[in-house]
Amino acid sequence: MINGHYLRSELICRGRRTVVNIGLVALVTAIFLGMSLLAEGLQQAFQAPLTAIGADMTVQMAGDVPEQMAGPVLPCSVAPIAGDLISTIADLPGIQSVSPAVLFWDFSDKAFQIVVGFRPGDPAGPALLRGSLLSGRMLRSGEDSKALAEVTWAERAEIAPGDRVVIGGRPFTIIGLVDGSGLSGIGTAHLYIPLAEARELVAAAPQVARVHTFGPRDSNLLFIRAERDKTEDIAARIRQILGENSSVSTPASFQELLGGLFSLTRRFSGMISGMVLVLALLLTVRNAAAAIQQRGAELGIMKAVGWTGPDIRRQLMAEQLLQILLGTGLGIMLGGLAAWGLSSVTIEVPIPWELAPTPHFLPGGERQLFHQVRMTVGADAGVFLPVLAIPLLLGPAAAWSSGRAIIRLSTAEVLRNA
Amino acid sequence: MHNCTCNTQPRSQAIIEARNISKQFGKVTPVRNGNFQVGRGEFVTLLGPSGSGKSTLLNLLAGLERPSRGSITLDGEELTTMDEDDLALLRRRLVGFVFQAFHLIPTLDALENVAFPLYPVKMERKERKRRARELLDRMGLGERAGHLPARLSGGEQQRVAIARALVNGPEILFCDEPTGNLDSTTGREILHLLTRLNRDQGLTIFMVTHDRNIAALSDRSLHMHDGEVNQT
Repeated sequence: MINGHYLRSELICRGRRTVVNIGLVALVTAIFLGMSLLAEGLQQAFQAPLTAIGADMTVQMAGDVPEQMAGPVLPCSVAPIAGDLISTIADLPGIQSVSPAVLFWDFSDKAFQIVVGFRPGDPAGPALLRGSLLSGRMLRSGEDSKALAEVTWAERAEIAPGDRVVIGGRPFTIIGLVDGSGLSGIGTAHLYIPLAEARELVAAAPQVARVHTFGPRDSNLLFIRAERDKTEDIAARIRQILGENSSVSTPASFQELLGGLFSLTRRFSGMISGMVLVLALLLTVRNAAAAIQQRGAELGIMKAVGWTGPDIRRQLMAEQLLQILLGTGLGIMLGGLAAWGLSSVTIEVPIPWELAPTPHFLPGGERQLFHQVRMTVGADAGVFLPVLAIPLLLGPAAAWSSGRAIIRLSTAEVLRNA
Repeated sequence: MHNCTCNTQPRSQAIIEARNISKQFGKVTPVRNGNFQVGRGEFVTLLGPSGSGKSTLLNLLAGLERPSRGSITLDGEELTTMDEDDLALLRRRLVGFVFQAFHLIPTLDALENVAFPLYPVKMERKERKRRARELLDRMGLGERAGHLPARLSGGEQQRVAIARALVNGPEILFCDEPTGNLDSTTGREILHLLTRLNRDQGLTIFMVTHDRNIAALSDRSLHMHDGEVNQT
């Protein structure tokens, strides 16, 4: 039987020891939880630029620079990807969908336009603009000669729904205005047109034909959805298929760009949490044994007045467990505070230059693009469940340590020396 | 002085019986060939100089230490064949302890210290408190029930310790120099209390002391010298 009064008296009267024990467990829990939340937050931050366009990775190829900036041209970072290769990629295990797009620059006498061709029904890429429609309507599958305009560009060019624009010498009617700022800059454009028409325009463009062969099923930008735990393996397979000129962007690409501390934090958070846990384990074992040594005379009295070994172990275990549970609770609260603190942090995730659609030779084109991400630290079970490992590990460790110390205790000896 | 081998004179049926007990710690033998009995309700003192093995013998008799040889029975139960937990249960049922250093639990008040041996026993909290309170009252410490040991005088602490020793209703009280840390007046009070318990309640007392005046109050004295138990 565990005596609650004795338990309470011990914890209160030996307040310093109690505070140290509870504080230690709370600290371990808070560090463990804080690291997990930080790692989770960073993981989501690195994922964010791709999540914004509904993809888990993007694929493009580096190619030759256009000889002349006239009419539709392909930027050197988005060379054609053959239709056959796109089918091969789509068949890779772990890939859920491939949304092809064609991105090109259109130079005319009067203006420069970034144009992207896409399929309105796709699950990723510019098709997500359907959620950012500000006026007019979205493109429909099978429509011809219709275009969406990016609102900021449209305002500057004084274009409104119903107006006509010329792309690659072909007229298009603006049917809606969209806000592409939510797309993290990847695959964003001034004008969005149906994929089939974009393919036709690019295939027929003389400046494209000078440096590339562009087939009717080709594309130059792929938005891929895949099983997240296989992303890096799939990326490696795609690089094998497309060769050394391929550029596959995954969350790891953004992580590498963000560099040093962030990358280390995410990579080593598990290791740091593990080390903290091992340290806590050792300290708990040491503290439990030390507490029993300090209370040697008291334990001697317990035995002398008729407490059996299990009676003593139960009482001491209850003391240890209560402290561990209080510490874990306090640690979770501190972890919650850390989560709250982290949720106010904004990270600027840099966008690789090859994913930026604006030519570097235009004003502002050389500027590094960033996608601003507010750290989201979700209090989901995946993060909090491992915290339960702390009492589950520390509790038995304390019990084992207490048990050993009690067995070693010679009642007569401690009473003689007390 | 003669070697005390089965020639003790218990007042009544033996409640403590030691047969040829020896205890060895390495090359040191603090108790050798101890043979004696203590009768039920008897008050026996164990005299001897410091380091003569008195406390070791008391620990052996109470089952806190195991003899290297020989056998010990308490109320007819053989201690040497019992495991630690059975010994603890036997002590809970049969034995009370009073130590020179009181050995109260510093985090518990006087009342809870008295009730301490009852903690592992299945018993209503109210009943446990009632018993402890009754004993404290008998010790004249009813007013001090809520005080922690650090706020009690030496004499009061020893009286709390005696109340604790009695709370299980034991038949034997083992006392190890119970007045050793007390001034003479308080020591006399404590002795008076113990002799009254022996006389009025028939409690068997086995007391270790080096004070011959205390021994004079007992029914019989055993003397220890170089590990040997003799009867004076």
